Amino acid sequence: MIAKMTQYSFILLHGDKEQFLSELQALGLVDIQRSAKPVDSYSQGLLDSIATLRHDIDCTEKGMDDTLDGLLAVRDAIAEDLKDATPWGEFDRDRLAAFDPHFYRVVPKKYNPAWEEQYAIQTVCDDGGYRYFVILGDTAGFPLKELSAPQRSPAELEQMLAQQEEKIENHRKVLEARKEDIPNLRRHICKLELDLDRYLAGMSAVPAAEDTIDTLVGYAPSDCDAAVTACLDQAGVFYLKEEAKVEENPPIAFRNNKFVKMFEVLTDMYGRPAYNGFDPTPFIAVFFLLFFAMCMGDAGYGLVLILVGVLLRKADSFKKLAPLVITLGAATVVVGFFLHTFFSLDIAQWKCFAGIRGIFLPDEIAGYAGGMVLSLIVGVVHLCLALIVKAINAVRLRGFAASLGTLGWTLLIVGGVIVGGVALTGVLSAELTKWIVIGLGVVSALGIFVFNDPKRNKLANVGMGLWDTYNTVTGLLGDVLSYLRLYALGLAGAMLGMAFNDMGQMVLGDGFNPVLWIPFLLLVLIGHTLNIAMCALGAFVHPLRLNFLEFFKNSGYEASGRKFNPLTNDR
Amino acid sequence: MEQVLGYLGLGLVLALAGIGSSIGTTTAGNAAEGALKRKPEASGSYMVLSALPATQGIYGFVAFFILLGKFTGGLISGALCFGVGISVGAACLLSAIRQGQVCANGIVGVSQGHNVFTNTLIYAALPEFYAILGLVGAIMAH
Repeated sequence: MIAKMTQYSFILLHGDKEQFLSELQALGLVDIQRSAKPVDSYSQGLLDSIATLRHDIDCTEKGMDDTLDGLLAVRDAIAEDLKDATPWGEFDRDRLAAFDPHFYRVVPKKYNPAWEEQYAIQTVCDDGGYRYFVILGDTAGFPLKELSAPQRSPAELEQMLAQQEEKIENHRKVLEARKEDIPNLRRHICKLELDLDRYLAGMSAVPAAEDTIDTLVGYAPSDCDAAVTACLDQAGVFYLKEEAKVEENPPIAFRNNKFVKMFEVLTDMYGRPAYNGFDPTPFIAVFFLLFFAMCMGDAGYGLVLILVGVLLRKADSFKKLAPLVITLGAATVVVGFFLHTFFSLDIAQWKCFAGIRGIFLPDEIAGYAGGMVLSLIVGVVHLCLALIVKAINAVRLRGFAASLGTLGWTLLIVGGVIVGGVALTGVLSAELTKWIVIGLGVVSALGIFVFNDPKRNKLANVGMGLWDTYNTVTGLLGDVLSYLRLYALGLAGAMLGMAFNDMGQMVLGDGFNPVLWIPFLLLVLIGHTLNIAMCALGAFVHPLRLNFLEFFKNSGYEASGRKFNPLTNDR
Repeated sequence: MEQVLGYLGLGLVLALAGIGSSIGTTTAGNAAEGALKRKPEASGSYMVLSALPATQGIYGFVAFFILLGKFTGGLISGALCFGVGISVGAACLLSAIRQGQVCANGIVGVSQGHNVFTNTLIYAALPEFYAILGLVGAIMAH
């Protein structure tokens, strides 16, 4: 549920602001509305410092950075030059320059001895599949392309190479040593992030009296009033305390038990409710869990998910999701059992369950596939719940008289569903059912068509009522059928898994050949892993959509609130 | 001839609905890729909006299943199966493609910072309704 908020207004001397914000940050309970992005050059500077530090940590961990890159590039260039200069060996560059040398190399086969008559050629060496030679003086008309003269002697280059390698080795040692600093750097990053948060909060202060005093507005949950007021009294700051009002748009904090808390991350994907709205997380907790389990629909896959959840606990970045994954897996095991599927095998046929065969989902209900009917029933229940929530909220916010239209619809639909359900079980006679339905219809119609807006003209009410009828009939029909996806996704997953099982069976044959077990296991393992991944994706997205679209729309949920984000030292 | 028509209908309902969903989700997914560059923190809403056109493929699959049962069980003729199959398939095809375009625009809107997520969900559900009607037709066929 949505926590009640208390609004605190602070009046501080300009000089005290920094100290006070630090104390608030240590307390970690007060949310001061602040920008999420840098607002000026100082905050941008802090953000840039954080980015640079992160980059440095990255480079140090990888053992590579820009300087090292440059050193390696120079080293490679020197090595290239050495390779080019080695065939020419050591020679006195200055003395040779007087003779205007030109350097060439050629494949020995293509060397034409006739050149020696035309040009002043001297072969220097034959090495590495090439003949290296020099022509002194005039080279007019020589067919080959000249090589660039080697700038340095091999000895010189080898010395340069050795020096460069030393530089590289030294830099690598520096990077290694820096690895010890990484925890410090991380701490510094944390400190900078806290500084940035505090600075942005301070930026939201409104200065007054020629910038000598600052006014700040913050919110804290009302159940933390004692702790907050104790801290504020100790800080000696002047503050006003009052209950938060809807019009001020206070931040939204949830108070949920451990089970429902896991699903708050899903609610946040859509958005938090208005301050006078309702917390949808308990509904999402129950129904998303159910829908996910129905879409995965396989007890074996549920066990795999529990395993994945347990493994996630060890990983740092996904540790927070581990309880959710384990819960989803556990629900999948339970629902998968009732859908009599275990790694796409039909366990209803297994002898060990012969006694309890009755609890499995029947293959056919009223002429249609069992899963299909179950999905539709689940859909109807979910939507009825949404309509009841809508009615309760309408009465809570606008009062009984103003929400007669909504109440009329809820009575008609939910009442009709309940009566229909009861009648199907045969408890009521056909005659009684007919009269109840007529009664429901008349009372609802009064609410829908006549009293839906007490201030408006009655004829306009009837018109609006007809328009509402059209919208509701088309909308609700579509919404109910939308729940068929629960059946379809479960079926698709089961069919694909069965296909892999069949393929494995074909490979295995009668199972007597031990060699064939290897490809069988590989096939089944890879196939089911693929299937779990695809099913998990579908089972995550579509139930989410059913909650976000069908449930939120029919329950009148509006995501106009902002998340409660206190100034805190925890990162 | 009846047989051929019946099987054609079955094939078309699955293929056309699947094609529609593929194109629709791709259109929305491409928009999401671009949106992630601009505003990565809203990736949750991009995911939800990209998945919306996937529904028509599911409806086609369910319709396929229903028609398969009815056709192989001799409850409906091949011609009827063909008629229903092609109508459901075509409806899902175009509904998904267009819904994908609506979702893509919604994703772009969210990435630009406008508060359009909720409304996009509603506008995207409008074309979907006709795919649902097609599915109802497949269920009603006998």
